Amino acid sequence: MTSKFFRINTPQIVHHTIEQEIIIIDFETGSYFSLTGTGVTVWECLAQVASLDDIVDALMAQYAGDRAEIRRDAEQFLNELEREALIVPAATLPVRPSSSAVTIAAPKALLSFQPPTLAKYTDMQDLLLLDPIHGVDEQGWPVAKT
Amino acid sequence: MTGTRTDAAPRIFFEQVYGAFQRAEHGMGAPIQRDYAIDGFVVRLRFAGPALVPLITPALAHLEMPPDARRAALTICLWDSASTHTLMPPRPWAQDACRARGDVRGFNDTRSRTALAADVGAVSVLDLQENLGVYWIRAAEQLPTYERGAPLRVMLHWWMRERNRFLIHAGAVGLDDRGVLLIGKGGSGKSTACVAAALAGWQYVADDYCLLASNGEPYVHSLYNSAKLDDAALKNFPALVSVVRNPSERAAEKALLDLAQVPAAQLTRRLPLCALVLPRVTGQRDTRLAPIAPSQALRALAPSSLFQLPGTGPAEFFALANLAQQTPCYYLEAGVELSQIPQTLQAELFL
Repeated sequence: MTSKFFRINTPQIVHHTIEQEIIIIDFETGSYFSLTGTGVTVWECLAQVASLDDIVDALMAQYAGDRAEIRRDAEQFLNELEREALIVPAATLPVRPSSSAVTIAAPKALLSFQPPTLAKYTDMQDLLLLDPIHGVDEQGWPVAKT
Repeated sequence: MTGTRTDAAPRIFFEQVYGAFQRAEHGMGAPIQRDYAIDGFVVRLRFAGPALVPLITPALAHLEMPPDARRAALTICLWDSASTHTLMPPRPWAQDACRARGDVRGFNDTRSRTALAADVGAVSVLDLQENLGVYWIRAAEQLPTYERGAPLRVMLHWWMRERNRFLIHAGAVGLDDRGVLLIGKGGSGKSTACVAAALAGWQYVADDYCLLASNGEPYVHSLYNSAKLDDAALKNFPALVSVVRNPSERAAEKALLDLAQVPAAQLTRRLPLCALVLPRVTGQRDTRLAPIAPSQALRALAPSSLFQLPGTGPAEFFALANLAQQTPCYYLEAGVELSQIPQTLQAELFL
């Protein structure tokens, strides 16, 4: 995980930042997600293609906490994002001016670190469920349910 | 039905379907055409025979215009096999090529759109270069009530989004030419709130689907003059029983209301938006409005708009995100006294 780079799984995933919250839409599964706090920092790194090291560095620049604990929480979070297919391994490494830094705004004072969490919503998934087809005619067209 | 896909497959299929429509139209005698004004565009419906006319046109009647001799911006051809005795060409894709939202793998590209509504048994194809679409259903009477209340959504969505107009899942009502967008998934109370406002004399644009666009400020444009209410909601509006279009289907479907028949309802084509409102039923007596974060409004608005239609993508999502960010957002905590809904909206948003 240390040297592996991840990117956001576009075009399946679209996202938007709106007042310190990131809304994420998965067009394939009909799920949608929300990130706040440290999750936003992680996501902003991933939007630039990032490794776990990049993400830990960014979190340490914004939040006060034990580096080992932050690293553990960040790794668990990346695993969750990958399980949800929101991120995928990056095929190409990012080209940056410095060796491995992502660009993250630094706060005036460090905030207290809270493990990142992913809020997942699945209430719209039934819109993507295929209706069972009762059969097709000889031309291959569905016979509508009566 | 070999499922063989080539780059020309979408275009070939479109030509086959349009050719079948032309044969159907020719076989049914004089062409039937209706023109509609939708946000500055002339949309022409061309029917092969009369079977689909009384099922498709009522919901659009408020937008109908006299026949326009000019070339329509978009022409949609509609036919059914049962009344025209004209077969649909064979399905050229494998059965598993149809995706969850109806778009067909390998039959959608920069010029062509193809979708199958498996529940309805209807096919929509659109040539974006020719601005020509064809809608086919096996038999006109198979068109369900929810389609009659909001016909041709997929076709209009495909074509309008190319012009930065997005078909969204929302209701819209207004006062003094300023509109409120009612957002939220099915069952949240959008239709009830919109109908309550319409009966109170508000301007009515939609209860479920409308077009979202911007001319520097966001606005919505009407598509359908209908509204749908379930039994429980309809009991609140006994005066509307006489305008139910589908009395014989009520056991299985929501009541489809023809608001064009309601004198108090001011059917309005277009309204600029001043607020996004997310209804939620409280069971309390009184109604109140409470501010919510734009992110909450976006979560209520975006998924149900994006996931219902094939071919939605970042353009729709970012249009909705911009709308939520630039427009005040509220919960409408709706009480059981429905008359308070328009009263509360008016008091909080328009005075």
